[in-house]
Amino acid sequence: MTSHAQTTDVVVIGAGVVGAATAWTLADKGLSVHVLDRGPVNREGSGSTAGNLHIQAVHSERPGQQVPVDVARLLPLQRAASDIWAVVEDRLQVDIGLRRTGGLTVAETDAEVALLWAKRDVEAEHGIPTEVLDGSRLRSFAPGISPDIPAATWCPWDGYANPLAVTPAFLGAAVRRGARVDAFRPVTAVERQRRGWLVHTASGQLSTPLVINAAGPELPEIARMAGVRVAAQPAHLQMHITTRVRPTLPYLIQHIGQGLSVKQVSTGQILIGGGWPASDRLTPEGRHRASMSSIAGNLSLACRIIPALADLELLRVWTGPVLATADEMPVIGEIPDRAGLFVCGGTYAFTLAPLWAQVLSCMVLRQPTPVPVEDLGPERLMDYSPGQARAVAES
Amino acid sequence: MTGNWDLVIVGGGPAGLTAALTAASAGLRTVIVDESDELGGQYFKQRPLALRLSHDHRPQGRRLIDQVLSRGVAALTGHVVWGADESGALMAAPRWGGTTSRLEARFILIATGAHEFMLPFPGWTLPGVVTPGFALHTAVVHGAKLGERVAVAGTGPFLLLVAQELLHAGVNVVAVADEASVTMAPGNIRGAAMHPREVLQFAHMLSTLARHRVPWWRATRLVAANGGPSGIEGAVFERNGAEHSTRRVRADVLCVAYGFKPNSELARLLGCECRTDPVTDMPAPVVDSAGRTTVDHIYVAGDAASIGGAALASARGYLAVADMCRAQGHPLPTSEVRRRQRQARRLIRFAHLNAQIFPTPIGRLESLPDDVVVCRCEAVTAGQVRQAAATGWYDLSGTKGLSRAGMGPCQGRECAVAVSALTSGGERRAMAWSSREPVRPVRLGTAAGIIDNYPQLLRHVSPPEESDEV
Repeated sequence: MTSHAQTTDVVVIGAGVVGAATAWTLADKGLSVHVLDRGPVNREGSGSTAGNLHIQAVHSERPGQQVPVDVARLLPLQRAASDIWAVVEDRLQVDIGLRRTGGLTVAETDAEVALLWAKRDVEAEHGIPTEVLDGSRLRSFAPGISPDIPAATWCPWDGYANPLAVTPAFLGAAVRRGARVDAFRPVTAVERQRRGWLVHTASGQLSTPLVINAAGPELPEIARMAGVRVAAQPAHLQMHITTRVRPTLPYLIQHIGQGLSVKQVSTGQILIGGGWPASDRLTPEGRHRASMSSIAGNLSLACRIIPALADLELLRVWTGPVLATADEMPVIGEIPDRAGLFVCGGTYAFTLAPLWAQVLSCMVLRQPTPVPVEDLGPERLMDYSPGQARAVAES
Repeated sequence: MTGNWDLVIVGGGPAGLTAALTAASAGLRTVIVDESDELGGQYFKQRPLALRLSHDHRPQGRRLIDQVLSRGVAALTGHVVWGADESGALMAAPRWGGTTSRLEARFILIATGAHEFMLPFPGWTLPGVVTPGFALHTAVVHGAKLGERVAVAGTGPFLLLVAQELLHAGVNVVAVADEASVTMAPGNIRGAAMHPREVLQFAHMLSTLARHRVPWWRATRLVAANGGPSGIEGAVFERNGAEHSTRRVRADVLCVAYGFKPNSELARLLGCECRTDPVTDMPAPVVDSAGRTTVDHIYVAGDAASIGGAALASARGYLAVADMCRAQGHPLPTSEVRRRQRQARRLIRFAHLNAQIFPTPIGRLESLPDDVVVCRCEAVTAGQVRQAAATGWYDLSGTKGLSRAGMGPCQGRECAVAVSALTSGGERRAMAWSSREPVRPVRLGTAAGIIDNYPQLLRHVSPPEESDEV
């Protein structure tokens, strides 16, 4: 069975941002890395995300989200990822459209303003420099914001990177360090061997001691091939972009209570998102169609916060999946009783990708991880019952 | 205009107008949406912009428009259909902002016509290189000066028609060069014999050219336009398959098109299955002889279904409505339906004959130099597209993401076929990128304005109440 299998130090399943960053990091440490993807690289969430680097805490929830994220738990991860993003472009020597020009989280009501202050205190505890701006300071800072907005937090570390460039840059760097990337090569089975794993694909097998499942929306399906149930599923979100305008909006703008992110990307286009759901209907290509109600809701909210947006031209709406775990927290770690089989993905995968790459490479090399992540392992999602989600929501 | 209709027609050209007249006569409550400020489409504009050989003239179009309006058809001109909602209703909004009308209907007829089809070549983005349609609008419709010396190139009988009309308008046409060899193969002669009227028109166009001593070069490939930022100075041609046969023409205007491409974006957005038309290599929706698509209650008629010109478009517009009436249990007179079916079949045969005589030369892209811009919205070159494809990591959509080809204001309408041909490794597979809302750019506030259709969302997007709990 294994006689024809190629051997490699590690197989990464999924050529998205997490898989690509991990392949690069592992190849850099001298491992032979083989990346597999069922389709083109950077196709799913990694290539369709808005590309935000979320360093200040995000409190708002996706419409339809069942459980809130544990905001405080994520902050040390966001802080650590921020430090890595600061040096990524230098290390890659490729322009990935990285902008670290800061971000604002606006509030509208007194209650939301109180939440801004509480948020600032928690962020300060984690070494993230956030300040609360009152209405007049906010408007001298960002004149486009509606005069009805009483306050916002400002975090100079927020930013974005071009999702169409980031994953290809990681993959290119990985290939330069000897990694191999096979797009359009779907994994059909993940079989345990006496030692390590046999990864079956439509065109041959790979024998390896280490498998990293970074398949994004397909993560649960790949885990299932190894006999593991992971309580997570894809959530399909939509993004909206305008035609180009001259540079006018240097900051990432979010809302503390409602799903909104607005920024001007390096092309000059303004990208509006916020986790609004795509339609359940599919395009002939099998992608989720845009939802008219999300266009209505997301864009109305955007125009309320930045009224001048209404006069821009909407060029395109697209959709893409994220992996939503049952408790809305990222998952990273080795699967119990499946030595050498790792999973990684979920919440803020784009922001956290370079951190996850470092954590995963430490894990597979049995070294201490740069941040503690024991509580984010897959165990919690393997026997997850809906009752737990409620308990988390109520706590 | 928001409301319930029996039939929404998108596109007010020959197909849409004939369908509207037929539908209104049969008692269907009908609304017709068109991007232009006036109905008529390209063909029935103030002066005729014919899509192929047949040469109708303005009074007929004006009469048709008047009949349609007097029958009580509602006209939403100056509006773009930019999307469709969860229940299939179309979103139509004024191009430059305003309120979106929600058009819910029992039947939808897509009659959005075609675009002139341009393939990139060295110099194609220089000032002075235009499409034949633009030349007609400038010189014939608007009576404006086009240039001192006008060359016409590309492929298709439309080039001859354009040259003829330009000559009638007093324009100095210096040459017409067609990449097709236009050989009279026995099959073609037999085919042409079935269409005496069209052959006569063809002969008439040739004689007009001859009278004005304008050469019609066949099997002659446009190689490049020469010039600089202030405009072109001339064009270079080559006989097909013959090196060192270069022909140079002095010209300050070069009209180029390689036929037409069905405007299939709305059909694709609505989920209608498309395929690469085997005759023209163009992506086009799958339709039956009545124009029914693979989606219930959605029809496509006219050049949006496949290129065939105004008379065929009109017949297909009629047949689509005839099928709707049949489905409603009120069939139209059998004799007239049969007559239109015969007419459509004959004209489709003629369209196929045209496509055989004037094939779309997509293969010419294989030799396109790397430094030529393919996507002019985003200034992406052939080399950048090839480089993205060479990794083996991307499909057409991924090539777009990496190179940015097709991401500009036209959303790939212009370059999709060229990019797919450049990346498909010689395979004749001309496909389009997925169609997404908005089908045409729309003012963002206009799109946001449809929030009124979603009362359950209003709570979420209104400023929160002060009494909210912490």
